[in-house]
Amino acid sequence: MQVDQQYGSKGFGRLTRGAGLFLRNSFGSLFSREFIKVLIPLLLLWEVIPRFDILPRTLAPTLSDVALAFRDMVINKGLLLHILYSLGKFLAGLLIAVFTAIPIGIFMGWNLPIRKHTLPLFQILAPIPPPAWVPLTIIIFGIGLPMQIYLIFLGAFYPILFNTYQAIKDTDPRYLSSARVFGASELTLICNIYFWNALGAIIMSVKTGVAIALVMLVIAEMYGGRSGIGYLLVEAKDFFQIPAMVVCMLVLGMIGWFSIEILKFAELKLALWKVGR
Amino acid sequence: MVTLLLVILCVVFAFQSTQKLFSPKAIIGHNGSPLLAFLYAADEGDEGREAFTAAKFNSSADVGYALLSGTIHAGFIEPEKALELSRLSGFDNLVVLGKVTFPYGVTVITKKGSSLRLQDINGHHIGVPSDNPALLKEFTTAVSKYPVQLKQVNYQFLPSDAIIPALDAGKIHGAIVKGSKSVIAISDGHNILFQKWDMEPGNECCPPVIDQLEFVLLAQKKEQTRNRALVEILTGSAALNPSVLRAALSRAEHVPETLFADLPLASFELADNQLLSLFSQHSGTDHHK
Repeated sequence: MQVDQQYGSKGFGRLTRGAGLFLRNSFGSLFSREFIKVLIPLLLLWEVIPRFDILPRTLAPTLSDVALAFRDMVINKGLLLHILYSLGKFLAGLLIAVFTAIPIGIFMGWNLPIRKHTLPLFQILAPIPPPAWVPLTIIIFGIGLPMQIYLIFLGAFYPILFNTYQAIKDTDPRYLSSARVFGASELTLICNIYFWNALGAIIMSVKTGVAIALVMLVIAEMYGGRSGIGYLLVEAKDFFQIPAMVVCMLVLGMIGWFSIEILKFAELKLALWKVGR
Repeated sequence: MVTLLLVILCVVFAFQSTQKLFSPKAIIGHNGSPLLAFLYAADEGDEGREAFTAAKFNSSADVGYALLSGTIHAGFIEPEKALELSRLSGFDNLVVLGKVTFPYGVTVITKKGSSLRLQDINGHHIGVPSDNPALLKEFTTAVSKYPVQLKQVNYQFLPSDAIIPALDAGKIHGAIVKGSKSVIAISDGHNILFQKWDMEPGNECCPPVIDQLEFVLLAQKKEQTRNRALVEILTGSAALNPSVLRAALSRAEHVPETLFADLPLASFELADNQLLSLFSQHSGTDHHK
């Protein structure tokens, strides 16, 4: 049987194969035999410990309390809609960070004058903790979507920038010399050597950026936000709805985990020579 | 893995128990509200300094969590949040000690420069705090004594902290707020359209406990001696000369004393039966002494 007949049209077949591979890799690692041996006892402890007041049930709800709260939030509080709002802001901030930090990092790593002009400024600004930018951001952008997206962008920007710059700078000069011998232009060097050599580090830096961007998502939604998981988390916290708080925390964890899985899959597809290391 | 978890739990418990054993002074949690002038004055006095330490938290919800975990002895929490807290099983270890009230009742404010009058309110958008909708009933009952029609007023329910910004932005023409919030609005230059002054116990609409109550003082039930001393000190502090209270408030808030010169001060009293009944009903536990 030809490949086309077996898998349908080429494009759709590749898509379904890719999706299958992604789901197998991501959920496969979550539901592996080894992790199940750890997960099931943890879930049992979570249910049992508050039930027997080993930890006060007031402050540590049982797994079943959290499950009920999840159901209630989906039906009555539009949890899925809030997740979509948060995902939208998170992706917007993250993508802006990726598409600004990577090119700036590449230019800084590739060109010495550009590096000398820009690196000191970033080195001064980077150690400022992203939450410290909140008051100034509110003054400039007000309270709303631009402020929230900017804070998420700020959280992800510096890790991606510095890792990209360092990886580009650390490109093996022998590759560059060999390419130049064959007449490669600087653009060719950037597109075919610098970038691909640094890809693993770039993807790693985006994973770090994802983690910090999630933190900034919650902080951003705390300030005047009326939608999103961060807003639900703070509202639940303010009115002592601890099971709802735990639901929001778990949802944030799942968003982070899923984002990392997507990046791992992207690395698998794009940087095949790193597989198995 | 299970052994490791149990070891971690034991360490956490041991640490918390040690903290409670070696805490000599009572810790009173608060959110830095300008309505707690008596607390700041008491904290500066000799008796207060010996008896307690005032610990500021980011929000009164954090005070509630600290009370539940036993890390503080007492705390001031907004009544709406305290009522939610009373539904949790850990509330059995807490007792309602006192209340903070503000003399002004339900107030309708309008944007600075607005010429809106109460009799012209029909057809306009009026904001109502969604976390305290009883204020709307209080307002409509109070206004029913006057020849004012409210049938065509567009009420918009908004979160409390969004009301003044919505008024500033022109999204609403007026806002129904608690008396204490009107003080903040006045200091920002907004106008008072209506204010209920004659608040009395047994009000036919709603008990003042909803309208004028700003904070509830909750404390650990088992610390009875300490609780008695705290109430004595705070009640004594609330009876101090208003100028002394305003001076303490200005030091605590780091603002000039003149800002509070024309504004009334909130008062602290022992929890009355009405308040205790309210919490008993909500929590299902009898909070009467």
